[in-house]
Amino acid sequence: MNSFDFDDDRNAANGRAPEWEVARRTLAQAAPPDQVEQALLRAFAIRHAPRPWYRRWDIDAVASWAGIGALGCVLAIVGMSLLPGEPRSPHVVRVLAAADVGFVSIVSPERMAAAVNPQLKQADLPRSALVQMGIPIVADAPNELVHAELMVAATGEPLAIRLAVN
Amino acid sequence: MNDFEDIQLLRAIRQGDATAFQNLYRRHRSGLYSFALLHSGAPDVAADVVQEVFMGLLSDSYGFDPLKGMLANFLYGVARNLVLSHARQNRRWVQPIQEDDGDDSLDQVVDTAAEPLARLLDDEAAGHLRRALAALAPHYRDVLILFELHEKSYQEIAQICQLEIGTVRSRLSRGRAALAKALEPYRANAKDIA
Repeated sequence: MNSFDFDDDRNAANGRAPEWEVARRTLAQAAPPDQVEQALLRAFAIRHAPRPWYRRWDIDAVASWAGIGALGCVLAIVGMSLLPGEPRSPHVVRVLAAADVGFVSIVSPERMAAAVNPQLKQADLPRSALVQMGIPIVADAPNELVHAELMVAATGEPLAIRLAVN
Repeated sequence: MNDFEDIQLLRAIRQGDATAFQNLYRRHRSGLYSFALLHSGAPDVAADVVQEVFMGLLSDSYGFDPLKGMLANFLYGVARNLVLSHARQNRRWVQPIQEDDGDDSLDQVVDTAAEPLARLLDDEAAGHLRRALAALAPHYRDVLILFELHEKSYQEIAQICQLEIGTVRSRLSRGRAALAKALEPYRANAKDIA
């Protein structure tokens, strides 16, 4: 055994002076004078004293917060510009559909306006189906598929259609 | 001493909780004070050291990092540095006891500031320990007090004193031998009186 290995064996047989026991008992309750605690609490109170609002702002704090705000604005603008242009809400869809002259309305404007949560879908439709919808299209090849974008109500009812331009 | 509670108290202190600061102080004051007291031999120095330790904690000037160790050991390390710094400024340190030193020489090398401590440690055996410790070199005193009085492990002492564990072991071994030698005259006297 290494002669130094008495980390967990603190007794007189390993060289501990018995006087330590006495010192430990005597010093168990030793504490600095009360003035030390009072001085520390005073210092704490001074350090954490509430300050009037106009003293809470220093030029560095204002500058740093202004910088953070400016950076936030820039990030917000960049983020918004990167958002996809696809319509996200019924209102936006309706506005865009009305504004887009490429769409042909299949239903009346009242039904279009009353449609709940319309969605834009893409489909390949036979010319014959398009003719039945009243789309002015040549039906000489009734089974030929035509790529179209459809505005569809939540019920599945087609509201408007736009034919793909080849 | 639960380090998690210390960290909780520190968080509360940074949010301005004076009670948390008081609780933290009361948790550690006795250990730090007795360490500084036995190390310096002077109650006024020990009180100053404890106050400085907590002032530093309050102003965060010592930069305690919970990821690097326990708060208690960190505070002991700060206290040790302050005691040593105080001693350097006041040139209070005494030379390690020489082999032929007797009772008289021991009494001569003991710091006069230790007299109030003598009153505190009125037990005869504790008084002997105080005088013998005062005769040791500070680097032995550090390790001895932390190991014997505060029951710190080698690892903790190494952290507190910024030493290698091997150095802690060797200093403890030599410190114990030096202390036993310094205590011999007192023990001999006690036997004679008995």
